[in-house]
Amino acid sequence: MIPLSYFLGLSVLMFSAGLFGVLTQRNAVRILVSVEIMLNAANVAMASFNGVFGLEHVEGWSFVIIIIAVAAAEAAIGMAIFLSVFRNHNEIIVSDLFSLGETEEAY
Amino acid sequence: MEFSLTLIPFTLLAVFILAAIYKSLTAEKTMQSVYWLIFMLVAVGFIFLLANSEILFAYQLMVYSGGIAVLMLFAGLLTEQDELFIDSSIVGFIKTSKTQVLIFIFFAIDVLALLLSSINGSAYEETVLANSEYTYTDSAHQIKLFASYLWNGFAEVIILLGFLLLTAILGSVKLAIRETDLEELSDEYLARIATTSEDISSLPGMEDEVEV
Repeated sequence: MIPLSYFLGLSVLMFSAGLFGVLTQRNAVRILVSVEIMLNAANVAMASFNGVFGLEHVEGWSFVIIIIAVAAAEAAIGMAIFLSVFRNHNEIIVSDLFSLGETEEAY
Repeated sequence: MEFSLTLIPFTLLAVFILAAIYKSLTAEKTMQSVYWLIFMLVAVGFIFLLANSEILFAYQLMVYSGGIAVLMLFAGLLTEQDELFIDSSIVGFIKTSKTQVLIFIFFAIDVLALLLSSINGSAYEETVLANSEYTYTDSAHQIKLFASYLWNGFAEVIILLGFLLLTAILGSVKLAIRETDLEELSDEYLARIATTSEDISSLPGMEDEVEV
């Protein structure tokens, strides 16, 4: 038997690490990696709660499936945007993208 | 709390996940970062297995470790800019990114306090059943229940997700494809290429080269 608090503790640590990555990283691909870590933290929490509430409950699984699908869509769109930006500006460092002197029309 | 053998793999996996996240965030190259992310995703799949969620384990390996990770690998390959901006020294890092560190500390303390208050509450005193008390029949029954639940209670959501993914695919293609790519696919472009090659081949002394 694994206590629920262990799963939740792991989930919190993962989420905090992902948030740390989102706040500190400047490469767009690395930021997306951090977002994936945060989504996985949420998945771990929901799967563990589903385990607590017994065999007759599968609501947690349903939410995890939905999150995985949304994460897949987000990753695909994110990567396409980054590739498009990289092709146009030869730059993927997000903090530098706004200092290129481009107007909104350029995007 | 009684000791369980399943705690050992859980602890090992948890340590591995945290180490993989650390390596992923501090790796010098983006590709290395993505490799560590893949390891982390696989380990999270095994955590699902320990939480008696076999179907999630399968989904995790198929969608995350198989699909999203490969997508990120390609993105890393196509946008090679391997600069690491985190300062190697802790003091230097704190000096350059004070705001981020403060937000992180605030959020970490906040969430930890919430977590501790939740765990101490009476609602969350139960434990997650580990595989030691989980039989094959239980697993099969739960997966059957999940399928029925998903297609009855969540039928509209599944259709909506299908549309979302379809939109994501089309949007990605629209964003990633270049105008020159589209031009290369057009009949006019192909006709122009054919005419140009004919013109070149008609030049004196170019017949052999064009044929080769």
